[in-house]
Formats: sequence, C-alpha cells, structure tokens
Amino acid sequence: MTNDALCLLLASAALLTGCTASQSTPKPSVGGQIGEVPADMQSDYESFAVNCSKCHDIDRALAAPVTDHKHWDIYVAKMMRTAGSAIHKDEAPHILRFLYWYTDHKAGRGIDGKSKAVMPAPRPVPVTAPASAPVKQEVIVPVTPPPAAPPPANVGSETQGEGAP
Amino acid sequence: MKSLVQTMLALTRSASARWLCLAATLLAALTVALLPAESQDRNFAGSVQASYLYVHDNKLEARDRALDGFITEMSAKLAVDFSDHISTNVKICFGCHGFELGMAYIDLTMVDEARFRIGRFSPSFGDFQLRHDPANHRTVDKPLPYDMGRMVRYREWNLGILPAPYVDNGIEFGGTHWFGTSVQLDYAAYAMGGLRGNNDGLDVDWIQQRSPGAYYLDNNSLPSMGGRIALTLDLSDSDMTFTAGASGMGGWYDPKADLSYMIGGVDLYARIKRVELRAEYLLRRTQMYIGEDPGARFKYGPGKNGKYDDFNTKDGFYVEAIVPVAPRFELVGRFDGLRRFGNVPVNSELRKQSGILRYTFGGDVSLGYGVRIKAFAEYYDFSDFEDEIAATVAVVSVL
Repeated sequence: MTNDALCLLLASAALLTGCTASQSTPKPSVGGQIGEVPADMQSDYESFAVNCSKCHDIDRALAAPVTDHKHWDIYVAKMMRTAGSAIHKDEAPHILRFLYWYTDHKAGRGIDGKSKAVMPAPRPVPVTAPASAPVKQEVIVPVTPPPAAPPPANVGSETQGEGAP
Repeated sequence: MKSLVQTMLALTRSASARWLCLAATLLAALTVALLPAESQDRNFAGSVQASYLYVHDNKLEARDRALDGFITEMSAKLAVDFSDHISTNVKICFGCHGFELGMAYIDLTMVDEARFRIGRFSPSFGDFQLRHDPANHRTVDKPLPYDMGRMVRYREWNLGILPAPYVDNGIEFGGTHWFGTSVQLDYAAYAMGGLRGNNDGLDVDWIQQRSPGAYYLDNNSLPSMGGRIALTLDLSDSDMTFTAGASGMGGWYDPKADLSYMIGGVDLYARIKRVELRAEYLLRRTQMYIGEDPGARFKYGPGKNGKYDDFNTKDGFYVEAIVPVAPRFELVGRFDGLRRFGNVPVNSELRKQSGILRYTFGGDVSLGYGVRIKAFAEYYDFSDFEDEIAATVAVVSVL
C-alpha cells in the first residue's frame, strides 16, 4: 500500500470515527416529497424509517405510487415475514399509521388546509393475528399545502430488499 | 469438518433428495388449492443504477483487469397478490449480461411460520442477498464475497464466493416466529438446481450459471440443498437491533454430478440508534477435476503424499458501517477481502495462496423522490498483483 493511499484511508477512518462519535438521530424528514413530518407523527415516522431502511432505502416506499391503504397492509405484512426485519406485530401499526398519513398527504386527500382530517386506524395485520399496538383512531394532519394529487392508479410499491438485479 | 461435508453431500446425492423435491412441490401445489385466491392486486416496482467505475491507470490498460466505464443496471418487477396467502412475483433485470429473469416465483404463506416459495428466485443465503439490488445497498458495488464482476481482477479471481444475486430454480420452505416482542427467529431450507460447471471443471462456471441459453435448466440430475437460520434481537427501548445468521448450501456442479461444492457463511447485523454495522464471512470448498495428467492442468505439483489435492478453498468477508450524518446524507465505510487456497490452473496468475484486501469509503445523498447519489473511493491491496486505486459514482432511482 502506498503512503498516499494509507494517508487517505486513515483520514477517512478518522472522519468516519468522528462522525460516529458525534452522530445523533437525524431530524425526521421525508426526503424531498413533503418536508417535515408533523410532531404527532414523528414516532411513527421513526418506526417506519428505522425498520424499513434495514433492507432498503426508505425512498422506495416514499416514491411508490400507492394510493390505497390496503396495499400497505399487504406489504407491511410481507415485510414482517422478511428474515431479520425485526418488525413485530405490535410495531406494524405504527409503520402503517405513518404510511397511511403519508399516502393521504401525498394525494391531498382529507386536507383542506384548515380543518382536521380523519385517518382510519390501520387494519389488522393479516395472516396470523391482528395487531395489538395502541393506535390512535384520529389524527390531525398538518396544514402544509399538499402537492398535486397523482392520478388514481391502482398500483403499489416495491416490497422488500430483494428488489432488483 | 470433512466428514460433515461428506455427510451433507451424501444427503443431496441420495435418491431421497429427489423424492423430497417432488414431495415438496406436490405439497406446494396442494397448498394452492387450499388457499384460494380472493382478488388480484397488481403492483409494479423497479430501480435503475447508472454508474461509472474509474480505475486509476495512466497507460489506459485498466480494461484488461476490470470492467471500468459506464454500467447501467435496471430491474422492473411485477407483483400480484391474490390474497394474504398467495402472491406471485416476476422480475426482469438488465445489466452487464443483458436481459435476465431475476424472479419468477409463487409465494404460498400458510402462517407466518410456514411458507413455500417455488419457481425462480434467490434462495435464502446470507444477509447481502436480500439487499443485492443497487437501490438497496449503499455502496455502488457489492462486497467481494458477493462480487459479480465489478471488482478489479475479476477474471483472475473468477468473481467472488457466491456472486449476487444467486438466482436459481427450486423450492424453499421457510418461516418466521416471534418469541415475545423482541426475539425473531427466521429459518429456511431449500432445494435448488445448484451451481454449474463442466465435467472437467476446476471451479464453478458463472457464465453457465446465469446463461439463459439452456433455458435455465439444471445441468445435472441432483438438487443442491441449503438453508439459513437467523435470530434477531430487537431492543426497541434501547433503539438497538441485532441479528446473527448462519447459512449453508451444497451440491454438485458438473453434469455428471461428480464434482461437489459446499458454501457456508455467518453474518452479523447491528443497528445502534441510526448507525448500522454489518459483517459477513463466507467460505466455499470446490472440488476440482484432477484428470489423467494433472501435471499438465495444474501450476503446482503434488503434495508430500504424492497426490494432487482435488479441491480449492475460497473464503472472504466484509465489514460495513453506515453512519447518517444528516437527514439525507450517510457516510459509508467498508473493509472486505478474499482469499484462495489450493492448486490453480497452469495458466493462472494466482498462487497457491492468494488474497485481496479492499478499503472502500464514501457516502450517499438522498435527493428525495427516490433518487440517490453515491460516490466512493476504493483501494485494492493484492497479494499477487500491483495495488489499485478505483472510484465509483452512481445515480440510483427507484420506480
């Protein structure tokens, strides 16, 4: 190994170590799509981001042209069965709660900029048993102006880390 | 160790192994009949990674030892859910080998603890196979044990240990069981067509492995078998998750089913708050055809016992750290390596013991809307060749 390369690697390692030492949980954000996550949704967003990013970029879910909550029910259930996902049945409703909110927010559904929008509670996670985590029945969606609603396509998202080449 | 390998290979060679494959397929077919479809829910997804590999070489001779330049990898996948219990997936990939069928399988989920997957898919092996999509792993290229041609000196090394994605035809039984809310046990066992090579092979032939010229037909009559078990500990209160897994597979890679291979691996994953650490170790023992005149085939002579060893061993590892430093920016460091032990073909540039260590450092930025930019510098430390410096940059988009 040349001295230059060794120096480069040592500098990189030092930078990485420094960043690790000073690292704190990043402020929740949803990419470039909708800006900041509202305060009452941040713990659900954290649950979504931490669990889903284990196998794939969370943009896979955020960029997916999902318009129907039922898709998320199916896919989160699939992800729970993915090896090492660490998504327990108690945790799935929190992930679903964020995805429901995000889907509605992206589509501009139930938001008039002033009034409260009601979001249904996540459906029970299918296959073995219903989810049992405490889930809020009603959520106040922030008044952030939503982007234009996408066309109502009945299409879903990438499902898990086994997505491509 | 040797007797364990022989025992496992004997199992795949027995007639009961083929009966087991037949019975498993029949059971899966019966499951379809018991779990009827309720609806048809179609989903489309995909990804594109457009990347450039730069290998530092003032003489412009890097192409002799690496596939430097632009490479685009694309995938498009259609998933159809008929119910919570039945789904199908078909995926087409386009990359260095042209169009390929990356997935075509049916999932039958009876309960979380019992699932059949049948068709063409990547069987459960290791941690990285699940993230082989360029949109799902943070670096531009794959770790050396899973390399499929982006490493420098890929010809001399005949790629990694199990190039990802390893896609094959077969059937897998698996499941997930939770103990309480913190412990998740995953398991899978499968029978697949297996790796491929020639009757006079000295190693697996990866071109045969992914070539659709034979319509993805198995090249011999014996299945390869394998499995994986993984335990995940989710400490939500402490914001930490740990996973430890072990995988193995074995079979015969030549048409006559005389030459065996065995692959084993262990993997560890830790998430501590937002920092992710991953590590894997893989080992493959591959039988070689000695022939009637081994002196003409091999670079090195016989051992002290006057006999030529009829196998080579290849092992490798990677350790990777992903550190978010901003909401859309992550630093990624990776240290990986490969080793090979055993005789080599007479024209090989490798020695009886050869190794590579690679140091990779860089980062990736999410631009939102499913677009991500990756940039990495790499340093290769070869035991048998000049060291190399490379850089990779990519734009990734998910569909």
